[in-house]
Amino acid sequence: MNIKFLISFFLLTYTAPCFSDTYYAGVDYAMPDIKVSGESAKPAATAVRFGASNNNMAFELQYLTSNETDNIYNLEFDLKQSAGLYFVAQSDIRDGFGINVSLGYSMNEMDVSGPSSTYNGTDHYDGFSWRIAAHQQIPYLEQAQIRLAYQSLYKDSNIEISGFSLGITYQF
Amino acid sequence: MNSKLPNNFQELSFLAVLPVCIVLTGCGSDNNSDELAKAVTLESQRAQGTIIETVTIHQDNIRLKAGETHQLSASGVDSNNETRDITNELTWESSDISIATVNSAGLITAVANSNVNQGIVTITGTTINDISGEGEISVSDVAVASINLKQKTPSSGSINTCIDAYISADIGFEDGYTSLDTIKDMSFSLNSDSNAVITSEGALYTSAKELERVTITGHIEDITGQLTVAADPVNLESLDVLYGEEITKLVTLNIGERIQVNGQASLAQNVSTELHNIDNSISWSQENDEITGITNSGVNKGSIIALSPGVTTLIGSCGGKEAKATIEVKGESTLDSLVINDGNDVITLESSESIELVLTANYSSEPKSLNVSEFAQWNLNGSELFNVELTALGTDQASYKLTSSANNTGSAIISATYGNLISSVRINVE
Repeated sequence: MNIKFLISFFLLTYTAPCFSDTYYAGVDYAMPDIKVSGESAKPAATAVRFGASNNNMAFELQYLTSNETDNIYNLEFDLKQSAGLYFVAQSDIRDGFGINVSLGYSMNEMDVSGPSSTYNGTDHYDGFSWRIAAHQQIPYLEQAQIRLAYQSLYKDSNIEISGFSLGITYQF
Repeated sequence: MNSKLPNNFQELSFLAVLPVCIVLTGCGSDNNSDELAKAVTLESQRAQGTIIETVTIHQDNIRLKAGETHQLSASGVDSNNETRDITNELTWESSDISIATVNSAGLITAVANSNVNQGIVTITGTTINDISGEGEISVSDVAVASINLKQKTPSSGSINTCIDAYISADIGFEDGYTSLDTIKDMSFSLNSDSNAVITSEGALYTSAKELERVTITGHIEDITGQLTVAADPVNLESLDVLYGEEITKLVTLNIGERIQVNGQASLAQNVSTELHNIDNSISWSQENDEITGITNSGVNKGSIIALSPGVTTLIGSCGGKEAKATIEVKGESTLDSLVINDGNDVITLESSESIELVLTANYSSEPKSLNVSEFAQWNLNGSELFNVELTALGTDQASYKLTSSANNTGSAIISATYGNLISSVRINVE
């Protein structure tokens, strides 16, 4: 993972305690959709999230890695890893339900392999990332929430990496 | 106080860390998304059999002058043996960008006139699988030496009266270069006794009942070229009136309702089984002029508005053939009055100014009023103060536009007659 990203992560981790009053962690099943030239590859992935929140705001780190690869014709797409730092704006919780919007920066490493006459290589797609999520408290387990999110990990004129995720968040 | 200061300090330190993180992470990607997109497109085309195998550049072999632009196009034949427009799929390249550049959509910009090698620049279009086609253009300001007009569609023989035909030319220049198949900078005229029409784009519309020889003259500055074509109605089988893209024999309208009709021609079966749109050649008329108003020229040719109750026959004529449809107009409104513009008796305008006069017919019941400017008889009553034209034909914004001549002042009474009523307005030019 990019050293600059790690530095940022540790800086935030170190200073977050003075900001936060709640910590949480989550795990998601993600379905990234890699769109290139009107075609699409959908390698399933798993994401873990760690965050610190205070007063309807949070800072969150997400790490995602694909469970499998998917192909577009002869090209095999593997979203090897994705790490993102987000500022999260959280709504008030009503009847256990809430939504949040995240803005941040995502660093994505993707491996593409195919016949020698096509494209082979590992590339980094880093840039602005956003996410919108809805979550619902689980009855009798108030510290846990089910969470459905749509996130855009990267987008430029040639490629877009986005997708839905479904998972659980636990607040400590 | 002692316990709060450190907390504030820590919060400030957290906020200070944030922009550091943004700067650290906000650096560019290391990727080849262009290459990846190209590879995916290529794989997609391979899988679907749409990968291009041959490229042909069109609209090339033309001479431009510095500062002019020209759009090239390209077609390609794919591995399914199907042809498609690939203008926007190609990577375009110019052999000499100091003379002409070409953008990603095939638009050429002539940069500088050149006398070297007749100013010829090679333009190459290359597909993502590296199949390329070449075309040449020339950039020079050398004068035109000759015009060789030719039939473009049909490419030879007589043209079928009423069916759109197109004229093009090969233009020779004094340095020996020849622009092929172009009408750039050319104006056209026809022999004065012809009732055919030719547009600035070289489209020739014919409608004579008999075999007609049309002499077309192409002009570029003082250089001319001539071509005589024979427009023959012998193959014209029948005409039809189209309403809503269907052949129609009866249309029922309410007063004030406006529709658009089109003309369609069929040729003898041994010539063509295709149906031809003849909107540009057909002439529309009706048996009873009071029932509907028909627009017979301009972009809305074939627009019909129901004006008074009754029945009339719409007649479309071309090449000695006719298409007829009955038009029934329903309603009980009667014409009450006419008003020009807002009803003022006097309108004042400055010299060289224009004014659009709109004649509104007021009815006893719905529709309460209709713009009948296009169908009224306008009379300048002998005044030569104005140049006049009907504008926005075939629309509810039609008007009789008067433009006063420069340095002329005076007064004129303009009257409009419609449905046995008359309305007048005095125009003072000051």
